[in-house]
Amino acid sequence: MTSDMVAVDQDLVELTPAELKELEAVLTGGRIDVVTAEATKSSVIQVKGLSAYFGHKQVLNNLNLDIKEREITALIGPSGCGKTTFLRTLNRMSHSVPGFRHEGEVSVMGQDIASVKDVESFRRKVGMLFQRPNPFPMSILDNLTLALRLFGVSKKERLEIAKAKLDEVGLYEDLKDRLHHSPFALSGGQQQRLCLARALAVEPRILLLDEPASALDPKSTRMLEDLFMRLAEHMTIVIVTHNLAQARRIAKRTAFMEAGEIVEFESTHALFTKPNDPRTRVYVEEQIG
Amino acid sequence: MGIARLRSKIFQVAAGIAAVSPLFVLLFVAVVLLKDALPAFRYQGFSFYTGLTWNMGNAYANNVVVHNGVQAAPGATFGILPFIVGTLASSLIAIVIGVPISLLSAFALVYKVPPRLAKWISPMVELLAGIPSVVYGLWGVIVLAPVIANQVGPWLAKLGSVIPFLGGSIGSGFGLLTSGIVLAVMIIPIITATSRDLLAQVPKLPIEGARALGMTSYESMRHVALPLAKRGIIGAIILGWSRALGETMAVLMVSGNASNYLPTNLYSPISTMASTIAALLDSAMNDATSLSIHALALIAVTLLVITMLTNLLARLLVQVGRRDIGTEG
Repeated sequence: MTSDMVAVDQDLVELTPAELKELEAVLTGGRIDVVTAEATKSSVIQVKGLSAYFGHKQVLNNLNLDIKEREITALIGPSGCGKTTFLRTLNRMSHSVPGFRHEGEVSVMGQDIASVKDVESFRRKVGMLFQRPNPFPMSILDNLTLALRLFGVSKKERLEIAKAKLDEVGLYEDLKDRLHHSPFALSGGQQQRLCLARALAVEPRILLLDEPASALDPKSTRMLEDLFMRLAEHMTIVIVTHNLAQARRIAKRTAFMEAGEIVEFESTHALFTKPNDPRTRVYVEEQIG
Repeated sequence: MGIARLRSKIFQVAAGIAAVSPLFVLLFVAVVLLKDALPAFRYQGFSFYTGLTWNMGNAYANNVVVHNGVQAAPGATFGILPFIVGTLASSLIAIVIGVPISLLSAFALVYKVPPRLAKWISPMVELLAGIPSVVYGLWGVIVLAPVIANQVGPWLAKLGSVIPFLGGSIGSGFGLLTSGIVLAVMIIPIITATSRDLLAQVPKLPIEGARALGMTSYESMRHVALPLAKRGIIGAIILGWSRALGETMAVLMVSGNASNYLPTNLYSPISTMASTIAALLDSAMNDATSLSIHALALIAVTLLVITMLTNLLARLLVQVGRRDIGTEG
């Protein structure tokens, strides 16, 4: 806790006036004013008229939204509403499903995903974390360094990156003597943090999280959420979650989706306290109970 | 109530018998073969495995020689080293050619071919596995042997100055290389079908993780899917190898049926242990002393032991592979 406080203090020096204002708002218990915060942030993902199909079945219908850089955006909605498909469209994972096609424009870091030629390089900039931890069948260290090795990073550098990323996700102290062991003996929470470190090792600018804590206990979930908040200081995070409390805790803005459409996209606070659309209100009330 | 209990009892007994039957069949075969093979070993000793000459002796002679208490036709000597070498060499060629093709096909069927097309192609693999070996043999005789003799052989022989065993006389096309290729064609469906099913069972999530990290489909297969399916795939390769070691008819048709010398190059005529048993059984029956039959039984025992050893070796490799999960640093 104390080390966190120190970190905040040091960061204060480098904050822009707008960020300072934002921080002030948080510290004084006031709500962050999305409009003023937005002024300093540009959209890193722009979606215009996105529709998507699996064969003849339409799964996304005319989505429009802008996702701002360096903040957490949550996608919520009932199962089958298309939020995961949307998330996986952003790094072209949906496109590997036979029969998938999309219409409309999805611009990720200024590049239209339809025109991505080198999918592999593109995906290095857009990391992903899945519903369940998915370590590779190799040692903890190799999990972190495999992709770097394939991309031609030197061995010395790989080791440094691996250690730095393990440290970043708070695993280094626990695992430093077990780097050559199998990751499958770790707890679910540790495995998921290892997978996060693995995704971070290739230095993505955007992180896509597909219900990353749905298989974890509350303590591990909180630990991950703290990590996401810290990461959002320098990267853009989009999270799909069924856990509305989670969206409330960590997301600055939240989109509610239903039946392949975005019903409402608002600041998280507004969406949960005074939803504009009756469908949002019903969903939020039912979920919170 | 009584009927149900009786049924359950019958089922338990039947299941018990079925469970232990593999052990008993193996024991029965081994005991019968060993008993039958023993006289040949007493007559020939360890030179059975080091000798180059196989000669069943003069079956029409009136005198019988006795050695170590075993009766034999005059001039009889049994050396099977050429058959052992022929068996191992042809099956190794089959593995070298067949395994990469099988793994690529399996990989393509699981990850690359559109499911709608794979639904049609996949059953064909099983169909290929069901073709009788004599059909493959006939294909080897009519199609493959001339191609080896006239096209592939002369071309490969040019590399002979660089790579040993590739040079020298090409011969009729009946020999080691043709046998190896026919065997490869025969084991490809077996290895493909098994590894395809194994790869299809590999959990999707780690592979997706690899793809999402920016690895190519080859890299995710090589580093993530293959290690997860490794144990099973090695099992599939052993299955294919066992088939190649024991294959009789197809090899008999294309091997050139050589005995009494070791192959000098890739095109030399050979015989394998299995094909020799089939080829010589008829004439061995004419041996009044029965020693030739005993010698064939000893070949069968040897084949059994070799098959078991390859199995054991492969299992050992898997164990070692599991212990060393390949870390760096």
